Amino acid sequence: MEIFKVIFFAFFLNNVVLTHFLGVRSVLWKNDQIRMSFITGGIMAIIMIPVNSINFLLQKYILLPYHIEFFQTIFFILIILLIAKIVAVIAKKAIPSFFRNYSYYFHVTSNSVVLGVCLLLFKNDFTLSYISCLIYTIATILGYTLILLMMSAITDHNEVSGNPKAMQGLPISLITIGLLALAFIGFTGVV
Amino acid sequence: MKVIRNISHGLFKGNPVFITTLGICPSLAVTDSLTKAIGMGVATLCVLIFSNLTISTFKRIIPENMQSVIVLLVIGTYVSIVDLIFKIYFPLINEQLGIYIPLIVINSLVLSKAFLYSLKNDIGRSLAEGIIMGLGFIFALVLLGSIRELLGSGSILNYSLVNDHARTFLFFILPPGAFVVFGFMIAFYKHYIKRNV
Repeated sequence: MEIFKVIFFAFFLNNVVLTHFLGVRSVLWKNDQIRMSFITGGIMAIIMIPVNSINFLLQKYILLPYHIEFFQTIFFILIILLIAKIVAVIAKKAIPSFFRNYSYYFHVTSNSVVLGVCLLLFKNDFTLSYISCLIYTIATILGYTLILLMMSAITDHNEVSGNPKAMQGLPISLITIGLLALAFIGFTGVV
Repeated sequence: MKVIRNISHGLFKGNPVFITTLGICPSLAVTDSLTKAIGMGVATLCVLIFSNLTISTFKRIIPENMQSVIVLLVIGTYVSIVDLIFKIYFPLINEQLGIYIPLIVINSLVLSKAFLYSLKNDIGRSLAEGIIMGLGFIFALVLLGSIRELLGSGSILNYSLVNDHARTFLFFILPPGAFVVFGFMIAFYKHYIKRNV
């Protein structure tokens, strides 16, 4: 039952894009193909699960016992950079044609979902178990993929619907995602 | 005269948030009150100035294939320093800003100025660019923050302008209001300011 609560919380109530504004740039920026959102979500999952596992161990056994919490930001960003590089190198060897076409989607270091979820999970007084961290991470990526999917479908429609010139592109996408966020507030109080 | 022209370029025609749309995440997240917006703007300005200065000073001895690691380390160090200073001197603002001060590390404004500007230009130009872009960022945050706080809670800098029983637009201090106000501000900038460039 706890697991479903965590999944529902991360998926609808506390969606990273709509309530914490993480990864807004990747959702809004040239996101107009539905296939791309699945690829982005898959790559994010492959990178974020090892990143959060390593950061969990780092926070629990090094940063907290030795009272060096102020190194958190630097350590986390270095781990993310390392894992993203390793995944890119492996993908380049294993699936070269896929990597050549979609190499842009492997640059996830500047995507704020990865670091943002680490910082949201591992606060200075955290008492979570590893399993619930993992479930929260997976549910977060699913929620992020849901918003990517919705926005790519709506952006496709927005481009042909004849908006005023100043509204085309980013402004109408922002207002659309605002209305989406207003709709998601309706889930408040379910859990 | 040239200084005024450069700063006004940073505020209006070359505004980093509304024209080039860098740093969307913090400008949506922290603008539900003017105090938070100013705190975030000042933190980003400090990080931007010092990281630009450091990177452009050492740009000749940074190896080509280690650029991303070194730049992220430099920015991360300054972000940690700013975080500690905020924790000691402004604990209330630091608590309200939460995860968004550590997230300056991957703020696209700071990253793009570090990679695309300071690694290619000399110290004076990098410093000037950092100050101009930081002021433009603060201006954008103050604009968004004052609109949202005025409409959402009827106050400016926590000084209430309406009586206690008045009803205000709660929509504007919730996350959806951030998206809608930001969208209309970008449309305003596109229509009235960018067309004269």
